[in-house]
Amino acid sequence: MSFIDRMTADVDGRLVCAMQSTLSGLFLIGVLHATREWGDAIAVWSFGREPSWWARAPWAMVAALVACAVALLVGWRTRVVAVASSALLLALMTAVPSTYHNNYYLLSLMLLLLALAPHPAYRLGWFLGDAPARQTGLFPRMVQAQLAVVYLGSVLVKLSHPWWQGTGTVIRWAATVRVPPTHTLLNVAIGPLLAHPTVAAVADVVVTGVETALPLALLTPRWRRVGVCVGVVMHVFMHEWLFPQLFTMLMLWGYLSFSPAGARDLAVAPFAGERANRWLRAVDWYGRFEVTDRPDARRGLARVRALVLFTPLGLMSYALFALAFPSVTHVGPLARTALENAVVLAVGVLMVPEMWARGSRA
Amino acid sequence: MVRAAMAAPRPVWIMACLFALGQVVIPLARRDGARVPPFSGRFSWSMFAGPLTGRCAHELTLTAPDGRALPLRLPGGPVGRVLAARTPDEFVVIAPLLRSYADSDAELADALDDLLGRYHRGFVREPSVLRSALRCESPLGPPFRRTLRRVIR
Repeated sequence: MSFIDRMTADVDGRLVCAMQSTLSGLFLIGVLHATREWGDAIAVWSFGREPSWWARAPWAMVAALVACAVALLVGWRTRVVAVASSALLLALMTAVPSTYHNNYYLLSLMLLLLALAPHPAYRLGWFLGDAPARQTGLFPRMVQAQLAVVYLGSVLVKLSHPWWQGTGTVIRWAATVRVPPTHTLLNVAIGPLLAHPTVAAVADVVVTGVETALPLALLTPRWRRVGVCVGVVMHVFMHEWLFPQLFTMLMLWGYLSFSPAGARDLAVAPFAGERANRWLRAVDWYGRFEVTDRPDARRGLARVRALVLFTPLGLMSYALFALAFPSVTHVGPLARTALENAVVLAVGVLMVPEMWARGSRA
Repeated sequence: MVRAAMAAPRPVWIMACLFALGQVVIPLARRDGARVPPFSGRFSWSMFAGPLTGRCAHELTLTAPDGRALPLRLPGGPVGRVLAARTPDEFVVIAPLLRSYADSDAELADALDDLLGRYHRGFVREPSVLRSALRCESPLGPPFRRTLRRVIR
């Protein structure tokens, strides 16, 4: 089978539809989250700028981005809207340079990939009806290639920049200067350790090594399961320490492309009521659940784990938890970041066994 | 493999070209001969790949043409916060509003000058002299100083 044939070979339609839904949801959450910091950047950029319609253009772009995210979510003119969204993001970053962030550049790339091969039958609520037909796997496979490009690009930076190159300078700076004002619990635990020059230098080498190995592991079927577990844990850890916003969510979304959709390989015990079972089937976007009374079927907490962890809905919940309502910085006396740390660390203990059980082979 | 690729439908080639173009469009757009290639301009999938900037002290004064000091009225909102930042701790917070991912304090100074021009032209308007002195000592970067004098007659 040629390379092109492998890239375009069909996959379960649920994989493509689930990735479309999740990317659209993350796009909407990400843009709404960004409006707060974009608002200040746009206000500074547009101050005293003439003509006045030009000063208002960035806000028109932001409004158009929200409309595009909604259109993608409902499946209206997906190809055209995805290209338009990508172009709008790039135009905004060009017009107002202080809105630039690699999060949104990655988002614009992922949207372009969506434009290449969306599912023709995608619509809002697609998961409530029959399983969508098989579809070319070009979109999820290109997303996997994009993940590899991101890691390799990051490694090139770490090898070429004097602040990395095994010196640990960036890590020490993050632990002592960048993170402390964000009041993360995680930095209270690991900050003093990473501030030590030797530990920081070792961490620098380890991160560079992991980022080199990840693309190789993810693109090799034998090592994919290890790659998915290590990569997801690394991104969640980085998010809880450094809060790189949408970047984490987009990378985790990329990992969802490795899911073996339609496999019916996770035995789950049915609920008592038929309505609950219909709900169970509706949230199983990837068609992984085999609803059965067999003794080995998941029950109780194991069933909840299967529903929530490392699934599109779980990822969107995480994105909402981390990114929605950015103006809320405290919940009562607790810093939001500290609260998020505590919840995610508690959930994280359950996450690794679940990811391992889910495996990957797309 | 090459033969299979040649026989592949045209959309696949268009997709491959778009993919490759997408990877380089921003790095090329942010390319600058004065910066260290290839991953300059803080374009990076790795956070904190550029120099730290924005640890600056900023002094802003407004005087009448005869040298008399005038009260410095600042607009509200983020523009006011940017112009009011004086100490390095204050300035580093507002620096991303001037130029996120700036490669040097000189880039920040250019963005600040642009804002000061718009402020003086559009907000002050009366005959006056606006003086701005910026001194930066960002970690691991060279010290940077610049003074600016803008006159409205």
